[in-house]
Amino acid sequence: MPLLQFLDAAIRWLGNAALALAAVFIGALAVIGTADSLGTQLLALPVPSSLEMSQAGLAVVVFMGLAYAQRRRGHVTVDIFSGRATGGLHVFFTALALVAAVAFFGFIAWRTGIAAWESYLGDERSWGLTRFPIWPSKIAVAFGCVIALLESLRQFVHLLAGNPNAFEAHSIEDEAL
Amino acid sequence: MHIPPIWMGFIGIAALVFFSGLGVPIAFCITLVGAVGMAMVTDLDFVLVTFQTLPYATASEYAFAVIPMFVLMGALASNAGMIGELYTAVNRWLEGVRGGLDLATCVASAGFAAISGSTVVNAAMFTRIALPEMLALGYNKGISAGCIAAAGTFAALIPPSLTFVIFGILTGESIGALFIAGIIPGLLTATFYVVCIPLMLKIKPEWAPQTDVRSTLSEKIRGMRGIWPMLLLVVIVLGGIYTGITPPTAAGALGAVGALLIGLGRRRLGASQIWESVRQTAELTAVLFIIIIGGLLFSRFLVVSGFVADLTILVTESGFTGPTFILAMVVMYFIMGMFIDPLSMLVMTVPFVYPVIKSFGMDPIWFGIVLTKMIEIAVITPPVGINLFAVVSAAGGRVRTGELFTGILPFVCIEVVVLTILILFPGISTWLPATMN
Repeated sequence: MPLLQFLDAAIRWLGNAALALAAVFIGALAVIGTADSLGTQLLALPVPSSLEMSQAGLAVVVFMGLAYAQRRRGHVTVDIFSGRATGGLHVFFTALALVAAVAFFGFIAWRTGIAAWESYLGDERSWGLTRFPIWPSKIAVAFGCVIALLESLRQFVHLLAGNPNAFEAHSIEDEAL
Repeated sequence: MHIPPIWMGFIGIAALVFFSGLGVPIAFCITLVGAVGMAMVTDLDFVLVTFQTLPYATASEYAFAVIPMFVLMGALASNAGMIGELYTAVNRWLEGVRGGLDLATCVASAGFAAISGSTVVNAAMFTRIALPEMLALGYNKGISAGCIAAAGTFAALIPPSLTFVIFGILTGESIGALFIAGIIPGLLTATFYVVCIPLMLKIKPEWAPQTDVRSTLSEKIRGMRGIWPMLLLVVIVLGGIYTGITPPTAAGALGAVGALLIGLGRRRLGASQIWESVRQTAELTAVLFIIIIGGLLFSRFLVVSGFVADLTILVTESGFTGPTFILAMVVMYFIMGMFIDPLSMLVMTVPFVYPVIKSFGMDPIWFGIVLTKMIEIAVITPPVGINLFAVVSAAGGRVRTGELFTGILPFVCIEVVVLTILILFPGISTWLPATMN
């Protein structure tokens, strides 16, 4: 099915692009935090609006990594029963998890989308010395949810099409705690 | 039909347990159950506004940037091979001792815990590094794997611990104070392992044969050269937090940049390792934050429904005292820990356990330490212990699950003894944070 393959590739590309953006902002958070800390302690010269920039950047990091985590089925799951299921029961558990993912990402995308739109209309800006716009960060939050929603739908379609393994495996080492 | 708040809360918790038991990721079910619950006890507008504001407000809280920064620091240090160097350095000093590899694993794991907040990463990495050598020298499979899984849990208490960060976010307690409070209990745990393992091997010497391998003094000293980067990171991060020079988030950023520069300077980090570290950080940050957002929503539901207030009254009026409540919590977490992963356990229970703890007038920092210790035990308690799975997975077929389930038991006993000490002597946890700037 060429259309499905195209959508697969497009959603994968979006997820990778979002991950790359998250990576850039992770680097920015580390650099800003270090520069601010050293500047404050050594030169009494803090980075202007570093706190506000870090806040806006953190939101981008969190939501831009969601689609990738969903693609790798990286979300923390209590799989004591579902992990042992096979055949039709396994498909049922997977479907249930994907329906919940669609509901979760869909709902948050909708509400954060409205928040982003209102922020854009009001040209919402940060407090602090440099009053930079924070609506791009809010748009990134909504957009990250939309990509994660698309990824969940992609997985759901593959499940319905009888191809439940169309997403990447997840390594336990990537879990925390 | 009016449902009393206490029942509303219990129904919400039951729904959460039910759906998470069906394999729905914890972040999704805790959020959705919280949303439905809130809609039932307030109105739909309240839910819509909450979802419009809470996700961004949580994800843009400066103090929470501590999570990606410490995850990045640990990932960079791990990908730069610092664990291997630390293990080699410690092992050279312990080669002649019976069970030297077990002890080296414990000491090195405690050391690496000071720059890594993840118990799973610790357990998996030490399985790859230490287990093959242990098995080649005839160590008992189950005990060796159990030792690695248990020593991996040091990362939960020794700062920077992700468990403390999440507990701090869910409760509003100082993450810096929690970090500092974890130092003595974490070191106490490691010390107990180092003392108890030789005692255990006196009774069962066949679990770890004595070896003739001995490094020379110069080899031992040369091995120590590899651990200075880690010591430097520990001093920067923990020293900065303890003295109050840097808040935890800035300390994390300094640590991450420090780990990167050290890795680059020593040619241990290339583009692929850096990308891998950042990728792990991005994924883990996303996964953790949506659970935190869900936990906060669920917590809000429990508060607005009146469940927390009613539960507090119920617990205090039903004859519970502080100590008996703690005892009940230990039993509850021990049983939960057998079946539920620690992060889920944390977000499911803290919203209603924490207010009760406060109502008894107990020190919340101390409770954070006790809770984290209970979580340490949970990750190594069969049948569902995430560290056990990490070891079996990383062992690549060298150890069977059954062998590990037996081998972990002595270490669970050690953990229970340390937990008892931490409960009986709160000063162990509260003294150091009280001296902080």
